[in-house]
Amino acid sequence: MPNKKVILLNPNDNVGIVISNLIEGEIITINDISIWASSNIPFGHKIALEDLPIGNIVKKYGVAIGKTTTDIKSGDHVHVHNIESVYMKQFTK
Amino acid sequence: MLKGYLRKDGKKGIRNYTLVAYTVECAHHVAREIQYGFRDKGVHVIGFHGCAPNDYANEMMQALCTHPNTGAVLIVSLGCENLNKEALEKHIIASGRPAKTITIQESKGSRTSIDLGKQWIEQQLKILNKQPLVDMAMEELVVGTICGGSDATSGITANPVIGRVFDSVLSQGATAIFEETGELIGCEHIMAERATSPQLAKQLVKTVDKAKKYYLKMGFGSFSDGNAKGGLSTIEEKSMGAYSKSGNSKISGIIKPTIQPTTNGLYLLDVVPDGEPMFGWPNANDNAEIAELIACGSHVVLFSTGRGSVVGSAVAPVIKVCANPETYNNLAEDMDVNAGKILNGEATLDEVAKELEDCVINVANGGLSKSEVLLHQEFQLAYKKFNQLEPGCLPG
Repeated sequence: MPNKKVILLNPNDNVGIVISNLIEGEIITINDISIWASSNIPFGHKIALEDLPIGNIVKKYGVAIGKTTTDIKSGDHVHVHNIESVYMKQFTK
Repeated sequence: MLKGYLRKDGKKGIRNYTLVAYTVECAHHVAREIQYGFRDKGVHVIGFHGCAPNDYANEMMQALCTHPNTGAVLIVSLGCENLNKEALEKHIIASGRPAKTITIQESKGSRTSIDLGKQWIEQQLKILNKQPLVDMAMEELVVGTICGGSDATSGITANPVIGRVFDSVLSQGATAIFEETGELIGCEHIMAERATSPQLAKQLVKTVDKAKKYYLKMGFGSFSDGNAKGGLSTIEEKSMGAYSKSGNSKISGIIKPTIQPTTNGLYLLDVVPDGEPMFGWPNANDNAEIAELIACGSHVVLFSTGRGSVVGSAVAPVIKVCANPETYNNLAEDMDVNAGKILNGEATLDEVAKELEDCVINVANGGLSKSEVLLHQEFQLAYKKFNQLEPGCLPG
């Protein structure tokens, strides 16, 4: 089995979980699709597996964990700078 | 098919333990001295430290003393405390289990009480050791889960692995219990979609709402910088990591500590006290929650840890699922399953789930978990207050 760098927690997810630090320009393959990492992405963080235009729902564990606040391209680092909670704002500071 | 010990009340246990139950801290030492020489022979200490009365503590002690894994109970009392030891002994005897109370103030003190206690334990072990095993179906097994010492790996390896094992044992007819409503804030609506009735869906949201208010009053409940550094972006994402331990099966009901599930299926255990915060944190540590999972009938508890908890428990075996490969390497002697190898690309979530399920079956059939081998028998019971379950929480 090849040493994977990104795992998918649920087949319906549109983000993958980085399990070994990715460097900008690195190519990862998941479900037979190859994706360029557009920046360094650290361990435990998320990478977009498809284009996610502004307002799109981000899915991890097969459920919504937030929505995009800007247009996200496949391969982008998905985090607090480009997604926000769809839950009560006071709980996300 | 599993093998278990049949109790006179019809329950089946996967262990045949004798408990030494102290009814106030003042009797703890005597209880511990009675148990010490038998601590590797299936004799465990449980107890309540408080002197002032508390219904929850009475009910917890009763539930644990009549747990399926419990075969006999020695109650050790100082004599002037408020825990209702008479009701406790009556409850145990009514369940068909042998019970005896030693009251230190009426037994000429510590030494005599310890000697009397040891003699009684020796007699009970002779009887319990002859008890045959009987067939036990998966439908009779109750599995609980908890996470503690979590880190960025918990929600991507060990917790989803436990979720898969929950789905598998539930599909074979077992009962499963998850908890930690304080860590489900943000995914209550997702959870509500899994309810088997609209009333239950409403109650699931209400239960998490109660936790949210309680934790806010205690000055806790927000999303930390450490969470964001670890890669979590939103509160619902963080909570989903903990929630993933519950798998994807339908949720049959909500229970509170000492309430046993009324049907097979998946249950949420609400551990957050009712009313205004009164006695401090909902649970001071992981073992307080483990004791509550066990008091609801869990035969075995699956413990997910990233940083590396080493605890076990009195009354029921704890299986530790280590989420982080580095932690596993440091603490292998304490860990039953290495889910961290998913991160090294050495195994998939499904493969580790199979390994954990095999481990659960082995432990249910008498194989010792790592914490049992090391004689971890932690136990914590604090003051709490609960109201009755509201309508719609239990099925039917």
